[in-house]
Amino acid sequence: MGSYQIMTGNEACAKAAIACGMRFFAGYPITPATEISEICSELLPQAGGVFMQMEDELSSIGAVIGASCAGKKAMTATSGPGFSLMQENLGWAYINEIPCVIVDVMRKGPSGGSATLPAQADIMQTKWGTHGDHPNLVIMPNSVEEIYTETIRAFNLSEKYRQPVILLYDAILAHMSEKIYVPKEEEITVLDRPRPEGPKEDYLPFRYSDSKVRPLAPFGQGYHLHLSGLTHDETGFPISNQDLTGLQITLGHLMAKIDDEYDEHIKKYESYMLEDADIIVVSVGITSRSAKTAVRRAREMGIKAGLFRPITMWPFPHHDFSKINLVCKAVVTAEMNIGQLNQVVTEDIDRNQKLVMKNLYDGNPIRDVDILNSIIEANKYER
Amino acid sequence: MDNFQLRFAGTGGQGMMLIGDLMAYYYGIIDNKQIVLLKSYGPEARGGACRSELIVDEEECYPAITCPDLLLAMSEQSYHLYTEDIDEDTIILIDSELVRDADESHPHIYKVPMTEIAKETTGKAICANIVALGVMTKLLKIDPEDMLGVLKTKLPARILDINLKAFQAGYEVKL
Repeated sequence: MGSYQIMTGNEACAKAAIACGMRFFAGYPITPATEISEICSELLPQAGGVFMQMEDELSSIGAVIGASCAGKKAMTATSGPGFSLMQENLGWAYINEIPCVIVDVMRKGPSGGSATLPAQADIMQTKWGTHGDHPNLVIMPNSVEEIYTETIRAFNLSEKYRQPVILLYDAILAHMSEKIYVPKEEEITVLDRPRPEGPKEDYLPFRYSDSKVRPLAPFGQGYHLHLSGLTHDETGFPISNQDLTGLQITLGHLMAKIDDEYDEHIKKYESYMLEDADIIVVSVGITSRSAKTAVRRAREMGIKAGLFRPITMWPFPHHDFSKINLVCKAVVTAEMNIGQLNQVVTEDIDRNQKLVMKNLYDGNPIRDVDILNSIIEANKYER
Repeated sequence: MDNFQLRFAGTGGQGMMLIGDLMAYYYGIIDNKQIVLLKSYGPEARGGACRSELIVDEEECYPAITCPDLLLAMSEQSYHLYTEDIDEDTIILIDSELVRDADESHPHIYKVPMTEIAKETTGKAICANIVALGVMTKLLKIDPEDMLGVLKTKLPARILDINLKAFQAGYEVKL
């Protein structure tokens, strides 16, 4: 049996990462993510790990990718301005299938924005921040306890699928304290990346015949490992532009390793009072908590409201949500940005359903009463 | 008790963040409730209005105060900044030497010279926050033994004795 402790969201993130085996952290301080670095700088060396304060965010993610290539579980933490700087190297990690976890603690943007004000405006950036087609694994927790458990899940997904995973939450969750259950080491399920077996000279880092996630050999142990940002063949060396099959396989594999496993192992969402809901509120992260209160209050008023809360934000559970919302008459999105989630949800509803947007981007959290008013407004609509 | 909201306000250096930590530990760990603790302070280490806020509930709660059930104000500035959302049921506890311009007509205002009491009993004004904790323990009908246990768990040994004295003095204040 573990213990109940009171801690902040950033503290939970750092401690969960170390608890599930993260042993390398490189970062550059930025509000509201700095505490993750601070805590790692203190606790990682005690756990036999390495903490590096870098000169900027480009080098931070570079060091993290390098450490992962050498075999360590690695993480960095930043906020929007730093996350923007990481996009180029993040793309490199996608194409080379390097496991790592990037924490983006959202503050109000764009650019430097408002360092201490919360926002949820990086939802789309975590999907399309780096150029080119690539799969995304993005997780949005909504409580300190969920930051703890989802940080562990982020590492497990990252290792299992050889894939960068982004943990996305906002400045409020980062700095507020809650009571959480901290499990004992033996209670935590830890997954590790597949390692190569067989003769070292036969190793191919991207072997075409391996349809599943391919084993990743660590640098420096005698395997021939070549990694490049260019589209590669199964050896890891750049591919010829004439090799159309190889080009297709490389991107096809990137997408398929996530798509094939999505329903069973990756998608995750909370459904609250959706069985008979006329109005479905879609909300993520901190805002989903006021949305839940609003749903409860609407029910007390006799309005059949429910909450749909993606926890795995990307890939978005389009298929499930399309089925869930079939009979409802309206969908309300609540988010701290100009309507990013709203845009995603548009794809899943039909013309007979009303879509109401409750959003706020002045650095204040959205109150339950404001979402309740949107629910009441949506309830007036006749399908 | 569902959704109980407390705000501890003062000036940077008066220990309002610590009061938040201690109360959060009491309600969350000892009393086994769900809690959310929020802290707000300026860039200064000393001076400037600051506050910590604690929301206590049976279930997971939304992290925003709508109307505090208890407000502690240890400075004039914080009293005026953080009283906008109180109502007539809010219990207000002020340091009577430091907040001169309070609304005396409020039905639940308690004026206690907590900083003076701290100086008299411990020789140190810095213990005023723990005097306030003693007063609040009584106002909130918390078992003082439980709160003494919190102090013993959370405070470093070298400052424990002096703070136990401060707590006792606060708890014994006639209200």
